[in-house]
Amino acid sequence: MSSILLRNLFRFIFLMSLQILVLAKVHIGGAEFNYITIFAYPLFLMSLPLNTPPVLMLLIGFLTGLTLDSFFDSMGMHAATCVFMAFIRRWMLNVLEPAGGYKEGVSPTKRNFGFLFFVKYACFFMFLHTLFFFSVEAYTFVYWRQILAKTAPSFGVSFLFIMIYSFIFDPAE
Amino acid sequence: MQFLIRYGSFFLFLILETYSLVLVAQYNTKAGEIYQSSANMFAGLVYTHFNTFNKYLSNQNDIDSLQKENGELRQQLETSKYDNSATRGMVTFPVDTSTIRPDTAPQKDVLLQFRYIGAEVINNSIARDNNYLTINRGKAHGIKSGMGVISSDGVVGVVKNTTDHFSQVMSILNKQMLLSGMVKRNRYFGTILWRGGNPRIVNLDNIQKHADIRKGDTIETSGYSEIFPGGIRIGTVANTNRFYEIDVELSNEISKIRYVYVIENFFIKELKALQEIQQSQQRLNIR
Repeated sequence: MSSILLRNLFRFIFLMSLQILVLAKVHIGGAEFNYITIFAYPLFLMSLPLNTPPVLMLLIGFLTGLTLDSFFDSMGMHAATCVFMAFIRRWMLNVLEPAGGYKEGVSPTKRNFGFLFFVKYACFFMFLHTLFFFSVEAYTFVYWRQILAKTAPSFGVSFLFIMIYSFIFDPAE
Repeated sequence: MQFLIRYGSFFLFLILETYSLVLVAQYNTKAGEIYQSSANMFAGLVYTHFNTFNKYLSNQNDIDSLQKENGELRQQLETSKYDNSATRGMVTFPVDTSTIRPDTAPQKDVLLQFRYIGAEVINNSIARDNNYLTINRGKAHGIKSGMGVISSDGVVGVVKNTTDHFSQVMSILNKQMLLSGMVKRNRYFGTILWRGGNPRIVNLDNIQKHADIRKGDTIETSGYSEIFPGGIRIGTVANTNRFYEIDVELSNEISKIRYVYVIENFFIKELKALQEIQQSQQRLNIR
């Protein structure tokens, strides 16, 4: 139990540092086409154990978002996105449930449920995350072209990043 | 009770989500700012430590002293001063130059209007719609909300919040930022604003429709606000059309900025007082 807690705490600190100190400084596309943001921190919410109580899940999401917001001066944008993702994660996992069902108390990772499952899960999760984030940033769907222009490349690069990450570290929990 | 257990998480979701979205919408409210600056104390410390790791190669003491000297030199510029001499504009023509000897010519009475405080950028963003910078100087160094920030290449932004040792600066790449800009060649002025997207291009709006604007024209601050002295570079006109949609390429590359100067206007109280008098008079007139 405590080892799972420690693992997640460590992952939280690692991914947040990566996001704030490294990825925030990376601007792919140069000055002319500055639409790409690499999102690494959603992997923390993705990898929380399956039996995390929904209420705790929401609070963790909210806290994660607020931490990011205080670093990026983006009041509420990350918080809104993370709370939303924390809420729909359960529903998403239900849809993607493998034929044999989930093992109790483990994390939805590549090692536990296979490559194909993880690709679908990461794809689904990251797409909704980036789409929701850029929609909140624009705050209205009037700019749907801009929202999509930002979502598509950021989703692609973030998805790739998370797949590479999961191949390097390949955690079970 | 059964109801709460069953739907508790859904209601918590609604509460947290609504709260977050209200925060986004009301970013400018007092409460938001208080949270922002107290949270930024911690964020500022983290960034400072990370930046010291980054700049171990450069000799920081040299940079600090050079920056201080630059700030002092800027104070000596004509645009930093306020001409207080009473004789200004009272010369009668033609002037008999033979009677004026250098030592009897009226001494120019000059007051210092602008002071420049050197600072270093410790955090920066350009990818969002509302971008901010964090600098490593704050209340303890005399920085207040509303002061202008420039670099050696031109305008950077305006200070929004301060803590004792850090300040949050609203970047020129922020959709809420409005700035008075002027064409150097013919002194037509308008509003500089950013519409998002390309971090090198801002727009010059609200300019008179008969103004003659050409590609390559220099745009600088007008000096009509109490925030910036006149004549500080903003950029050059990159594109213009007959609808007066003017693209201005920034002279500053915001993503690469490291050293900045915060501008203190010593006359800000007087200028503000004047504005208040004007506003109260307008109110009386309406009645």
